[in-house]
Parts: sequence; C-alpha cells; structure tokens
Amino acid sequence: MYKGLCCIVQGADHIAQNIICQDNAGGRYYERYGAAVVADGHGGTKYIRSDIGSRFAVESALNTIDAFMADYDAFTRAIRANSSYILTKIGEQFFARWTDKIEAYHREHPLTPEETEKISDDQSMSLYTFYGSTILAAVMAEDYYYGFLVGDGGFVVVNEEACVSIPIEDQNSYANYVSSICSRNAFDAFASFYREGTPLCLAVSTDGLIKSFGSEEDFKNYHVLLSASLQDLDKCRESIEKNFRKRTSQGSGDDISISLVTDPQRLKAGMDRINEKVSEQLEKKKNREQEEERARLKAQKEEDMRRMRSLEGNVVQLQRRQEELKRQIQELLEQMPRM
Amino acid sequence: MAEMNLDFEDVTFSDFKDESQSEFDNPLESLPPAKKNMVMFFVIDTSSSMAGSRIDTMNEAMRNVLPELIGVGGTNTDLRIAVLTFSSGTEWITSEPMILEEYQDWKDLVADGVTDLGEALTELNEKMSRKSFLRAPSLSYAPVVFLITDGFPTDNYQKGLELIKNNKWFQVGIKMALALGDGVDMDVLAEFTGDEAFVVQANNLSQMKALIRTIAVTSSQIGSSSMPLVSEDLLAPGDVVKRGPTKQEQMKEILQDIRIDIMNGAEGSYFDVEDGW
Repeated sequence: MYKGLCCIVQGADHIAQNIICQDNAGGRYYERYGAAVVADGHGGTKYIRSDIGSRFAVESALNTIDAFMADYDAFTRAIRANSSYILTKIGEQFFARWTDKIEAYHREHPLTPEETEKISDDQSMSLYTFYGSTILAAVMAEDYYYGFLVGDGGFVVVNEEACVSIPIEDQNSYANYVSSICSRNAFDAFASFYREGTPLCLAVSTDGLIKSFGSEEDFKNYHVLLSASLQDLDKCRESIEKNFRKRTSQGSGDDISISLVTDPQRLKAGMDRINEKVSEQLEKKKNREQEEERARLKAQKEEDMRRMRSLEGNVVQLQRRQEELKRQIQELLEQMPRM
Repeated sequence: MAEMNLDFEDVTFSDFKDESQSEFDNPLESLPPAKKNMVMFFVIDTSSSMAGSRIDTMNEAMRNVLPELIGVGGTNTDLRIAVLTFSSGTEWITSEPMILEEYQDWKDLVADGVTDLGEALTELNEKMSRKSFLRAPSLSYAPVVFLITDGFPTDNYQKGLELIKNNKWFQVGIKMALALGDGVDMDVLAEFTGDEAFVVQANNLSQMKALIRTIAVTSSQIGSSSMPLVSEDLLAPGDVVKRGPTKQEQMKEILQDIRIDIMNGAEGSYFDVEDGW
C-alpha cells in the first residue's frame, strides 16, 4: 500500500496582506500506485478565484490519474508501449476536466458585484483567468513512475540510491512570470515524463518552497532529509509544517505546499542509503561552515592589516607634520630679533 | 494599584514550550531559509574617454553608494551586485552576483580602450540566465540593469542589443541608462532601455555623482519591493501569465522627479565651471 502526506501553509506575505491561501494539495494512495498533486493559484487582482481554481486543478489531476489507471495492468501496458501518447492524453483529459469544473462552478456562482468591479477594466479576459493556477502531479507505480506539470514549482524524485533529481520543470518561468493552466494555449506549457524504476519517494511542491532555498543543491538535500523522516508520516508532517512556517516567514513569503508519495517497503529497504546521504550532507555542511569561518577570519585579518597600514600611514604623516612644525618653529625662532 | 493575577491553574506546560526547533529536534532546520534576492547589474563604460575626472567620480560614486544600498530591500531581501565593465572587450568585476554586504570594498576602475558596447550586451545576455548569474531559486525579483556610458559604441552594437532585448529577464527588469556629457549616442541608450524616459543625462560631475547614487538606490528599492500583486490578462505568447507589476513604469515616474531634483536643483548646476566636463 502506497502512502503519502500533504501539507499546505499560508504565506507570511499573504497573511500580512490578508490574502487567502491560494495553494492546494492532495494525494491518493492505493495498493498498486500512489499520486501526489499540488497547485498554486495565481496572486493578483484579476485571479480573483485562483484558490478555487487550484482546488479544482488538484481534484481534476487526481481524477484524471485515477480514470486512466482504473485498469492498472492495461494502463501499464499502454504507457510502456507509448508513454508520450498516453501522457498527452492524460494532459488533454486533465485540461478538459478542469475547464468543465470551472464552467460548472462559474454558472452556479456568477461573479459578485465586488468581483466584477475588480476586473471591470478588462472585458477581454476569459472566465478561466479568474481561476488561474499551476499544476504539478506525480505518480509512483510498482516499477515505473511518471508526472506532469504546467507552471513553476518543484518536482523531485528520490531514487533507490537516495539520489535526488528534478525530472521536469517549467521552461517559461522567470522573474514573476509563470506558465498557467488558464492560458489560451496552456497545453503548450504542459511538460511530462515517464521513467522505469522504483524510486523511494516522489514529491511535488509549489514555488514557495524552492524559492526559500539559496541553491538547487540545498533544495535537493532538503528532500533527502524529508525522506529520512518519512517512516513516521504524522511526525514528518508536523516537522514539515513547522519548517514551512519558518521558510515562508524568513524566506519566500509565499504560500508553501507539498505532496509526497512513497512506498513504505521500498523506503524501509532504502533507509540505510538515505541515512548515509544525510551523514554525507551533514559532513559537507560542517566542512562548508568551517571553510566559511576560515574565509571570514582571513577577511577580518586582511581588514585589520589594512587598518593597521592606514594607521601606520597616519603616524608617518603626523611625524612628518611634527617635523615640519619643528622646522617652522626653528625658522621663526631664528628670525626673531635676538633678545 | 491593580491586583496581580497569580492564578496559574489555566497555564499548562505547553505554554512554556519553545516553538522553535533546533536541527537536532527537526533535521529540516539544518537547511535554513534563504532570503528573497534581487540582482542589480551595473554595466560601466571604462573606455579611454572616461579617463580622468569621470572615472575618478565614477569610482567615488560607486564607493559611496554601496554602503547606502544596504538594507534597501528590507530585512527579508538580499540585494546582490554584479558589475560588468566594457572598453576594448569586457570584464566582470564580480565573478558572480555578490551579496551587497560582502561587496563593500570597491576596487577603482581604470579607463582605457574603445567602447565595445555590443560585446558588453552580448556578455550581459549570457550571464542573465537561470543557468548562470540568475540560478538561485530564491531569486524572487526581476533584475535591475544600470548602464553608464559617455560615448558612442565602437563595435557593432546591434547584435548585442538584439540578443539582450530578447532576454526574458531583461525584458521584465528595470532598465536605465546614464549618459555622461553630450557626446553620447542617446538613441542607442533609448533602444537599450526601450524608452527614452529611462535615459538620463548628467552634464557635470556633481550631477553624475548624484544621479548614480539616486538611481541606484531608487531602482533597487523599487526592484526589490513586494508590491501588492496586480496582473494583466494573458499576454501575447499566451502561455505565460504575469504575476507581478511593471516596476519599470513606477521607475519612469520617479525618474521624472529625479530629473527635476537633480538636473534643476542645487545639487548640480549646469554652469558650475569647476564641476563641468
């Protein structure tokens, strides 16, 4: 039986600005596969219902995966035979389900006068824009795994050797721009992958998490640490939540969500390797900190030397000035009429 | 005097429990959060025409502005500095974007050679990418690019300009240019910034010093600010949604004020003979 966990934390900036949490996350765990999904609703005045859009995105992704994998053996044969075709079909169905949900919801809940006022300047927007969101979905099966995304965030695979990789990422993300499932040609931004193998864990997270790291290496290392604590899912979730609160308040400021899926038996078998990786990381971290301390001390010493040289220069100047004054006094004394 | 409440019955042990966890309690704490960060690019002309008082003033202005920039992004943002010089070729003074607090020791630039602006823009385009200077995941803001020059490009600048104008980071960043004196090809600078409103001309050394300071500080403040998110409808490419505001527009308004304050104010009189070029 596959297992997993989800965690959503409202962004510190969102709390400060009284903005609703626009992230959503979900997971479904079965005997032969497990799925993990997150979605990040866009911020901004026009994306007035992006929290609902991201919720529907998570539901649509999970429902699509379940629909395709209802006959597990048939699906396995199909994706092995032609993964890109199957993944394209999964993408198409995901978009169809999401747009259906949005249209149905919008019919039942037309825009309120307040909402209409917010977007009244622009009549050209499609209704999907109000619900703009990203989507990241990961599926772990018996001896293969796959995933898809539209928009930024983190998609992480921890393999049998406890090595971390990022199999897909949004190619259009830069600065504050990101691909969206609400755009007219959203399918162009649909990225997917399929691999054979038995990873220990798959994790998808919204961009608030990766943006709270100074380097991609740290982001990857974080997932090794997560894997090390996955055996106790409740405790792990508690640790993640506390850590996310810190990461959003001291880092990205954004909502942060994660969804993880793992096979407990594989995880148990790979725990020694995970622990080795954690030890390696801690050792590297210790070395790095020592190096940084050495560099800091060296810089401090250089600064002290520079100041000393500057003081020495001042002393020399003062001595010269003293000599000059002595000479001037001497001259004055010599010019004075003899008493 | 008010009575002190000494009733501890409702207080439980958990009320005293420290919410913060060390990395011993929670291994995830061993990777502390990184602050948001923004890169400010200075692209500086060090051709021979800059020699003398111009390069001296430039060095002085840069030495003075670096400490002033500390803290402009607030406590949650790291401002990083990248400095590219160009004359006969280009040179990165910073091997990578440096955290401002650690980059306070400005090494004086020396002026010599021709004005290879095209090569500088090509180099800038190469580094302005996720695979290079902008690789930190915590990079939350579009960059600020500040070009300072006193002459005409001596190379084929069009190729470099075309490259940089197609760079997505450059497109969304704040771009400004400072022309030193009247021997500058203003059209090239307007092409670089995309709008002549972002090109400012300094007519003497004190204006130059004041403009470098004011533009650097203001643009980094705007660039690193977390403004309320506004958005536009889906843009022309269709597959990309804009999450943040156009800070360039905000900079445009401020540059108008800067022009009034500095160009017409007491800080730099055009007729100040001693400060003249």
